[in-house]
Amino acid sequence: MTAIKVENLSYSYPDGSQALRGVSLEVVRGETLGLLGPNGAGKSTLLLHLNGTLRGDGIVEILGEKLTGKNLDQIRRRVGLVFEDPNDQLFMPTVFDDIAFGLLNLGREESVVRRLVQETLSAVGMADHEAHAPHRLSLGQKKRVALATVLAMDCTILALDEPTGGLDPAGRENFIELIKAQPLTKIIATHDMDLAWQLCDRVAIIDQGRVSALGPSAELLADAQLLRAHQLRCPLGIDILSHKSMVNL
Amino acid sequence: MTVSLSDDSRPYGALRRVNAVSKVVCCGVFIVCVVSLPPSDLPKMAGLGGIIALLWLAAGLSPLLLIKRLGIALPFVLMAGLSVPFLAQRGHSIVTLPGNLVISDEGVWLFVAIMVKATLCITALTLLGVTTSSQELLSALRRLRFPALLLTVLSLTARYLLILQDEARRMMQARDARGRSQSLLRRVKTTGAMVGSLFLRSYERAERVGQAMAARGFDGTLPVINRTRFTGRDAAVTLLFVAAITTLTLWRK
Repeated sequence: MTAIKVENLSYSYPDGSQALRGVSLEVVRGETLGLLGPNGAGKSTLLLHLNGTLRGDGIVEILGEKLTGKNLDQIRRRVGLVFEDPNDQLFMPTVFDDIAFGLLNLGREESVVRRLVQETLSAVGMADHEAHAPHRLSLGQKKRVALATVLAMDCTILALDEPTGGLDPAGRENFIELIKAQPLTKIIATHDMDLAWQLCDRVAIIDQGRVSALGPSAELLADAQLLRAHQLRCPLGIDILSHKSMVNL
Repeated sequence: MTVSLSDDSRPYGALRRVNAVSKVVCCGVFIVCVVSLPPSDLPKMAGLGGIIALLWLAAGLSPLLLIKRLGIALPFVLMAGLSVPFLAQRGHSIVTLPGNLVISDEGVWLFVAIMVKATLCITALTLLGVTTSSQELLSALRRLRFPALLLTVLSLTARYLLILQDEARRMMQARDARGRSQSLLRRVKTTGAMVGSLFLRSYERAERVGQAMAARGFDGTLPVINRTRFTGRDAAVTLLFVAAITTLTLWRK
């Protein structure tokens, strides 16, 4: 079943800069798709279209349902969008309030909200932090809580924008494992090539608002020439392997 | 640079264990009592001052902290109150200045009363601020049915003030790392540009935060669950304090 279908999507920002030019792609249920591309390629803009935050020209379908102004709330419940900077996502005074925010907006009862907040925090390894103020947390902890805010809403699709940006190596590995453990359809905008290698079944290379290439990770991430043409590089593992094979030759 | 509203998620002093709702109510009643005293009633002001001073010391706070906070707030009161000795029409004239300006004895007393009252109110608010975290304070105001829109604004201000402060600090570090200009005019120009840049960054962040809020179903109010309970003990503490200060204020010989 198709989880996400984007057809001929175009979008221009109010200042006139065109961020998306006829993007089309599909993600099947349970799959992880990586959106790779240089800065300003349109990756984040595309993610913002998946839950209707931005509305461009073209078609966006989530779980077979076309996104319109009327079903915005339903779609947003299904697509959990995690922003690049967790400070944009965590706006409430405490971690508890932040995770409870979406649940209370869904009209869940207080006792259910309390239980879900605790469960979600435990799931992201942040139990005992519910009374903390978000600004007191480290970046890694903020990222976990930001992820928890959408997981608590029981979303079906996880849309992550630069999930590992700014994390230290250990924090990065832990966060990648945490994302990997979520049994959801995932779409990840990143330039962390190693993350794409570790997590993504397929990748799409986005450049200047267009899908330049779309295919299995193993194929595209090994194509050094293609990646270089879009200001990207091979994941470290593949890089080392290709160097070794050159030495053996 | 420190900001008391948002930088106090670790409140200090013995009073931090008192329920925030109690503290807000007591502080509000204290301010009403102070403001309602007639300007001539300096003994009662001294009495209320004694109570707040005792609470300050009981909370284990340094008098230096109070002096610092008063140093920030009192100049504004002073500026507003300076005209009072000239404007009071009653009492005996003490000094007559050129331009037919007369300072009367009642005017001077009125000015003194205003300064004393302002000092007492600022002390009470400072005590509330330093012994209560911003989260507790917001939660208490919510319980006391404070207007929802104002609460949303306060809550977001408390959350983002530190981030803005941090951005401003990083910008200043970047400016200083490239050599500080000696010319005052250039420094003023740079500061102006930085303020503009900070505004634009804040504006863009506000848009992103707005998107994040909309993504999780924001409909204009911040829904929250009250997680602290207002117990019988809290009610007793509040009633005792309110009874003591209202009796002192209303007591007649």
